Amino acid sequence: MTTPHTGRHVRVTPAGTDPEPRPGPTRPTTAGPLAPAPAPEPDLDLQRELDRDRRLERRLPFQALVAALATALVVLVGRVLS
Amino acid sequence: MSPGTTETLRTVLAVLLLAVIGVGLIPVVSTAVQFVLVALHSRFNHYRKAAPFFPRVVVLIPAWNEGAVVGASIDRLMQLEYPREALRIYVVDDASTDDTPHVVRDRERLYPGSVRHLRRENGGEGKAHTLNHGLRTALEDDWMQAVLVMDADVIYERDALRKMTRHLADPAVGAVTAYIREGSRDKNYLTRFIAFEYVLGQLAARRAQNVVSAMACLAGGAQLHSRANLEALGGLIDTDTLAEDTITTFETQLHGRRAVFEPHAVVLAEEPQGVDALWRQRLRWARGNLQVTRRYRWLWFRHGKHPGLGRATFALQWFSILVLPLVMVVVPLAFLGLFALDHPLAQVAFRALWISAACLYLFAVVFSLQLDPVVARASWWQALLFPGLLSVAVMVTAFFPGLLEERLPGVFGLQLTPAGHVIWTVVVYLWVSLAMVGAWIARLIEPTRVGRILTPVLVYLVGYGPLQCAVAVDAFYRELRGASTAWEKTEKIGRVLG
Repeated sequence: MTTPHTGRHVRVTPAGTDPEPRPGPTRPTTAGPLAPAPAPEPDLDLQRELDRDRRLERRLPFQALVAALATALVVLVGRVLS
Repeated sequence: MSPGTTETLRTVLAVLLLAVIGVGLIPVVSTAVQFVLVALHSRFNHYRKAAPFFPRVVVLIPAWNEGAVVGASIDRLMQLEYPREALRIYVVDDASTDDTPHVVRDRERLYPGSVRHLRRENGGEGKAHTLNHGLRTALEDDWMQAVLVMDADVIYERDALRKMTRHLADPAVGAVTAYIREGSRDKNYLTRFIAFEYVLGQLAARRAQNVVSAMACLAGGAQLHSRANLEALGGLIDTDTLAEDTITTFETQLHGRRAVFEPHAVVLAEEPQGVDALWRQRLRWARGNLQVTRRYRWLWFRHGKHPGLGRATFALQWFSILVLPLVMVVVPLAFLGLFALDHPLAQVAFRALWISAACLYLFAVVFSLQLDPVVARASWWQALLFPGLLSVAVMVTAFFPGLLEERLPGVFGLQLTPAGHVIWTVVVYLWVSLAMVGAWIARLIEPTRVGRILTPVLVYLVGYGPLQCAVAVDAFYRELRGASTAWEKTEKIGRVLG
């Protein structure tokens, strides 16, 4: 199917096609008719968004380094001042 | 007794006291390990197996007298960047006596087919029972492929749900949680402390848990479960404890599926503005954690039982938080004993422990503030004073002996007497225990006219961390005497930024 926000093709599994069989009784939906899709919004590249979040995670070791340096600096300045 | 025997006894006693003081290093080591794991999240995360994925999601909102907040939550859910035809909202109204039914029915008309009002006429059994009512309905037919369990007051950022569902593209994942950020419009000192606490407890701790593939808790306000996972759990969640979200998290993993934390999916929540409301909320959480600890006693430190939850690093994190209040009582007493026995040795041990704690605290604050710049801008002051102003003073004392008790008074021509010096040392050694008493007093005086002014001052002085430990002590006490486990709802009035 296509997302209303991106116009891109995404995976939405049709009802009843899950690979795993489910126990228990099933009944027709009682949730009423589907709502209309909202108006399209500016294009969002979902894969690019995922890659961006992954790249943000790569900053963690550098943030740790900044924290370690800041700690060392505070301790050093404290020792010098005292 | 011969002088030699006395000396041997003194040595043995000193070694024992040092061993007890060494227990104080456990939370320090645990926090250090946690932050190493946070850095490793750069490589060991779930993004490689994630992909854009839009399953049909039923959003379950348990609601008891949530008329002030539930309407805005539904409105925001309908604005999510998620295919509208793949989203349905079930509000499980737990016999509300306010205008919740009216608000929800109004939204049913506004969003036909997308919102459904499920009413429990005989409610009052608690959140878990309310959720189970909704789960039974959601599982009745084949439409639902995933369930998002949330609180009535939380507001999802537009991209939050789709950032969570992308992890379900990996069938090995059973559940996903998001980052709950404190999001009140009218922030006060306490909500700012909570905001930073959530950075530590979620953005840092849950990244570490992602790395070791062992999630401690899916946030109650943001739990996304695949249908397969829910069915594996029997389609119902636990109703026996105060920690239904933690039990569900553990059961998900014990049934062989992963629970993943998505740090970039942000959910805004309203948090208590007063110490008493916070105390009651956290007491429920702390007691829930004790109940979870007891229920899974066969699991801790047993890698064979579960490769993630049985891991020593996970147990170290879990227990270092759980026993921290105990550490804060026992270690100061050991310091006091060592002070009486061997003052110079006590001084060395005190400095070693507090300097390592201070360095780690500084590192954790600087690292954590980088994880969420929004919170960093609003709560940097509370982050710095998280352990309390007086604990920071104790750290300074450990770093620079004589600075606060000798050199600073000396500037004003003052000098501590020998007795004053002893009192100063005893207070410094006992401070972390005294801080918990201070937190308890802050709660006691809060309702009074003087308390409204003094309580924030007291919390800044004794610290937010010791406040949490005081709550944990209360939880231990109540669990030991088997106090009632009735669900107590935290009042929400719609202060979250829309």
